[in-house]
Amino acid sequence: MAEVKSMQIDKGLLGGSTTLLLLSLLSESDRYGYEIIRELEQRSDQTFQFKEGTLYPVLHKLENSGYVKSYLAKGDTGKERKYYRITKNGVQQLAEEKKKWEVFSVSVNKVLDGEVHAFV
Amino acid sequence: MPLYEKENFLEEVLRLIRFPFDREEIRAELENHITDRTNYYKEQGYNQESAAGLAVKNMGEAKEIGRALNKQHNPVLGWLWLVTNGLAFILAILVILNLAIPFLSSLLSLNGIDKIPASDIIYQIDANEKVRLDDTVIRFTEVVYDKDGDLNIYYKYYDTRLWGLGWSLPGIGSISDNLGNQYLTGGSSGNGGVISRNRQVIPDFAAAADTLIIDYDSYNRKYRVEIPLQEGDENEQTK
Amino acid sequence: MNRRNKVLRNLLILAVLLPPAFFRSGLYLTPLSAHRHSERSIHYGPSQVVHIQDFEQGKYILCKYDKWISCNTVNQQWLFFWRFGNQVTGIENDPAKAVCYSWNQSYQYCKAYGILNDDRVKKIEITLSDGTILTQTDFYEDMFLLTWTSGTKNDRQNRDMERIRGYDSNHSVLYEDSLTGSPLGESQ
Repeated sequence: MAEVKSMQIDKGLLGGSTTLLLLSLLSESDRYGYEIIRELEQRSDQTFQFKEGTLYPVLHKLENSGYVKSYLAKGDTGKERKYYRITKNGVQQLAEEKKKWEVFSVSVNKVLDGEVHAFV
Repeated sequence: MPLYEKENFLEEVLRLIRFPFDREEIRAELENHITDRTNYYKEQGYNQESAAGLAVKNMGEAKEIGRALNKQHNPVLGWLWLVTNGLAFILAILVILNLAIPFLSSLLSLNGIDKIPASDIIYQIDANEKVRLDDTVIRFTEVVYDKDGDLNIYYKYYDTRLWGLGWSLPGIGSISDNLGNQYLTGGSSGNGGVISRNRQVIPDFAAAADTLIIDYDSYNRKYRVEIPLQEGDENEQTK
Repeated sequence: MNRRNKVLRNLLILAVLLPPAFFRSGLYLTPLSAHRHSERSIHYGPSQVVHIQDFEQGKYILCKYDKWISCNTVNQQWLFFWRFGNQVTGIENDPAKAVCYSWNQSYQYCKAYGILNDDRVKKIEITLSDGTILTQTDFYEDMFLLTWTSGTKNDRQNRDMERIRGYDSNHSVLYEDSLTGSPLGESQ
């Protein structure tokens, strides 16, 4: 019996990196919602498991912000689905988020490593 | 039972979406997701009912999702979008039908008025006289004397104001010649376009006259145009 | 394009297309605007407006211009807009006559208007073909305007003007004219 982890996609460990993750996945290729969830699961070795429905408000918000654009297309199975594609603005935003993430993770690591800065 | 779970879930979410026209699309997207997840669990060995139940559970709290989605589907923006779409569309159609098409066709229609066959022309003079009445510019382009003794005055006029529809030009003035003859105007025709091309017929015009005089004097507006009519081999149209 | 941008695009389209559509529609925002444009378009005026009066289709605008008098019409459209009417140009005033007038009919709407060159005239009286008598003593500066209808759109009656009289304060006739012909012009 699979457990449903109660981590929400826009809270918990993800925190502010939801946009970063989604934009990053979409910068690789256009995807639809379920695809994104599966990709996140597989790449994170099941660490990221979510209340899957909460993905959609985030995606819709990204679209409202102009970072992604949605369109309807038929997949391999012939079923028509809503796909998301990253926009130019989205690519820019992704670059910014990556930078912010790097700065953030470097800072966190510094704290965890207990570096002390001497003051002159 | 599982079918109802999915339906209940979807209904609960959609109930919180205040802009009704987005509900269909949201429903489809969520339903596809649930179906995909259901198939995933079926591949893992679950039966239809359990798979479906798990898939719905996996989605999370319907109310929470509904509220969050609703925030991204602002009804005010939605209605604004619908209304401006409709207005812009209607306006575009109106403009195309009422402005663009008539404007283009009046530019392209080379001569809406009947041309006189060359064999009927006694002489033809190219004129280039321009006058102005208030905002209307009138340009006399040609004068053709035909074998019936009629003088045909061709002219164009247009409005230099950008707006409003205007009255068509009532008349070009009183017609006389250098010999002192006063003429009654005959029929006139025009194509009434943005640049209206017109022809005024003057019946029984004197063949011997060498100047056409058009005199406009009405309600304190005046102009006088004199067009030399040179008879001679240069201007005679022969078959 | 997200929804917000689509709305902005639509508003841009409206902003670009609405002015020419409106301007070429023949609609004006005020009766006087329609009146002035109508006069200028037909190469008359600009008149001095003496009096404005409502009627079913819009407004009558009683005017003077140089040696002419006129009573122009503008028609109301869709509650807020105005269009050209008819009878824009006027008649030339003859100062030798005590009263100079004109009357015309457009569908069932009739009007008679004129100017009083003799200020002893204190009352204008017109008689219609069905015997009706219309009078005016309260003039608009030195001009008068009388209006009436001849039946309805589909059921016309004959109510042509047949006679006009101008009286002085003692009720003596200073001016009189009899008409037998048809009105001076249907709609332009």
